[in-house]
Amino acid sequence: MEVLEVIRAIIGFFLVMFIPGYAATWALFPDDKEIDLIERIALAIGLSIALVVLIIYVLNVTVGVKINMINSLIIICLITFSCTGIYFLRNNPEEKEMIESEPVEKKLRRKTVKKAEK
Amino acid sequence: MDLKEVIKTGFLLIVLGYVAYSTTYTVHEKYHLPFHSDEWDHLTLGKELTKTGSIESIKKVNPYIGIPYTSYWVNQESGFHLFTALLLDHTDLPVEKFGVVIPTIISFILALNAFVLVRYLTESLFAGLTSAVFSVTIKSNVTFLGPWFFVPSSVGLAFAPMFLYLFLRALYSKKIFNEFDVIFTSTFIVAGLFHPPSVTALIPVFCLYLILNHKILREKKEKFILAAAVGFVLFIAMLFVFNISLSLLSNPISFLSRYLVFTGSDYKIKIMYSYPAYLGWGVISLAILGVYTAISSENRKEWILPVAVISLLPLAVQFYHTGKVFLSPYRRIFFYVAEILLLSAGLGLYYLYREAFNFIKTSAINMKVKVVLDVFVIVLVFYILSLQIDSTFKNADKLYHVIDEGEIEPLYWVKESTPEGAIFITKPEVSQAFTPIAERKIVAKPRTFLRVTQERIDDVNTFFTVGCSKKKQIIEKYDVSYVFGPEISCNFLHLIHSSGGDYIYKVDLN
Repeated sequence: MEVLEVIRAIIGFFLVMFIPGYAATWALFPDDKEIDLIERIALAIGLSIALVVLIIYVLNVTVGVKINMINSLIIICLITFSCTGIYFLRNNPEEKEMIESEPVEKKLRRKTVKKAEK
Repeated sequence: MDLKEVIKTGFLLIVLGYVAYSTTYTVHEKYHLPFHSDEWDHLTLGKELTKTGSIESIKKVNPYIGIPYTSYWVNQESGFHLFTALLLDHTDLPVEKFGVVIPTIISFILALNAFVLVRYLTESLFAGLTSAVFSVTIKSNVTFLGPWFFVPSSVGLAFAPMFLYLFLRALYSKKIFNEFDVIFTSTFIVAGLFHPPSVTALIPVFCLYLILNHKILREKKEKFILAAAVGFVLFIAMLFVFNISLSLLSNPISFLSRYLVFTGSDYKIKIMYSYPAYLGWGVISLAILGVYTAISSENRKEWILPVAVISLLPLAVQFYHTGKVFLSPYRRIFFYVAEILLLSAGLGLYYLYREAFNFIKTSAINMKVKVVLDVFVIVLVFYILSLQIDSTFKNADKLYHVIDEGEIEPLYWVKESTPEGAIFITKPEVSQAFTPIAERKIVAKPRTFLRVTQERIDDVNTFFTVGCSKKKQIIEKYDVSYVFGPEISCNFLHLIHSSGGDYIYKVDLN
C-alpha cells in the first residue's frame, strides 16, 4: 500500500470511529471531573459508531437519504460541529465573557481567593 | 487535562494496541485475507450498500446473484452492514484488507473497554491492564467468531465490557438522569442493529444485578419508569426494523418462542463445549479467584462480573439439557461467559499480585531479599500474561482458507476488464470472494447465511464436470456471459485471460 492510501485509511477510520464521538463526549462532559482521558477515548469510539450509524440508518430508512460518501461526510460533520457548539454553550460563554471584561483588580482578587481556597 | 495524564494515556494506548496487534494481526501474517465465509458475506452486503445506497435493497436482494431472496431471511445485522459500507467509503481500503485490519481495531476496542471497566471497578490501573490482556486472548475458531474475524458478533463482544461499565456509571451517578444514560441508550440501540444476540444476552445480567441491588430501584424509580417507557418504544420500533408482524403480539408466548428461543445443531450432534477445555484450568482457577474476591467485596460495583457469570451460566446449562436456549444462541452465551471469565481471571491475577506484594511488604525479611522477591513477582505476572497471549493461537492452524491469495489478481482483472452487468459461472472455491472483489454477479456460491437455491449450486457443480452440450444448456439457463474456472475446451468458450490455474472465458453462443 502506498503512503497516501494509508493516510486516507487512517483519516477514514478517525472520521467514522472517533471524531464525532470525541466531540460528543465534550458536549456531554465539558470538563474532566467525571471522566478522564482514557475513558473519554473509549466512550468516543462507542459514541462515534453509535451516533453515525444510528443517524444515517434512521435518515435512510425514514427519509430515504442515500448512503454515500458525501452524505455520510455531511452527517459526520454536522454531528461534530453541533456537539462542539453544545460544548461551548454548556461552558457558559456569558459568564466567561463577564470574567474576561472585568477590571484587572477584580481578576487579581479572584485569583488570590482561589489560591487561598486551594 | 495535564501533560502527565496525556503521557500516561498514550502509554496505555500503545500497550493495548500492541496486545491487540500481537493477538489478532499476527494471525493474518501468513494469510492476508478474511478467514471465514461469513466475513465475505458481510463484506459483500457492505459493498452492495455502497453501490445501492439503500438499506432496504440489501434486505431484499441477494447481492451475489442479483435476484430477491427465495427463502425467508431477515437481515438482522443491517447496522453492521451500514458500518461496513461507511468504512469502505471513507477508508477506500480494498475489501480483502478489511478482514485483516478491522479485526485488529476491534480487538483494540475490546482491550480498551475491558481496561476501562475493570479499572472503574477496582480503581487499579494494573487490574485494568491484566484484565485487558486476558480479554483479548479469547480463543477464536470457526465456531466461536471472536476478535480474529470481521463479523457482527466480534463487534458485539468488543462492546460488552463497555455496556457493563455504562450500566454501572448510569446507575451510580449522583444525578437521577445523567449523561451516561444517553450514551448507554444510543450505543445499546446500535448494538441491537449490529448483532441482536449481543444485546439480548446482557438483559439477564442487568436484571439480576438490579434485583440484588433493589435499593437503587427504589431510590431512582423515576429513572426506571422512563427506562421502561423507552424500552417499550424501542420494542415497537424493533418490530418495524426487523419486519415482525404485529399480529404475533396477540400471542406473547408464541412470539417469544419464535424470536427469543434458539436451538442449534450442537445439541443434535452432541457437541457440548467445556469451559476448562476451552479456557484452560489456569484461567479457570484465576477466574474463580477473581469471582470469589469480587463477590466478597464491599464495593457493590464489583459484583457485576460474578452476576454476569451467574446469570448467563444457567442459560448454557439449559441448552445442555433441553437443546434450546433463551435470549441468545448457545454459542454466543458460551462465548460471553468465557469473556466474563477472562475478565475475572485478570482480576484474580491482580488480587494474587496484590496479596503477594502485601505479604512481602509485611514479612520480617531482609530489604534486599524483599526487592528480589518483588522483582520475582512482577516477572512471574508478566510470564503468566505472555503464556496467556501464546495460548490465543491454539486454533490458528485449524482455520480454513476461503480462497488462495494467488486468486486475487484474476478477480481484479475481471473487475477492470469485463462489463458491469455480466453474469459469471465461477468455480465454487472462488465464488464466495468473487462478488465483493470483482463486483460481478455469479450463478451460485456455497451455502452460508446468504443462501442461493440448491438447484443453482447443483447446476454450477454439474457445469464443471459435464460435456460441452450440457454446459451450453446451463449457460443459456442463467444467461451467463463469462466462465471463471479451470481449463475448459468448448467451441463457444473463448479464453480471454489466464493466471495461475484460473482461466476466464467469454461465452459466444452464436
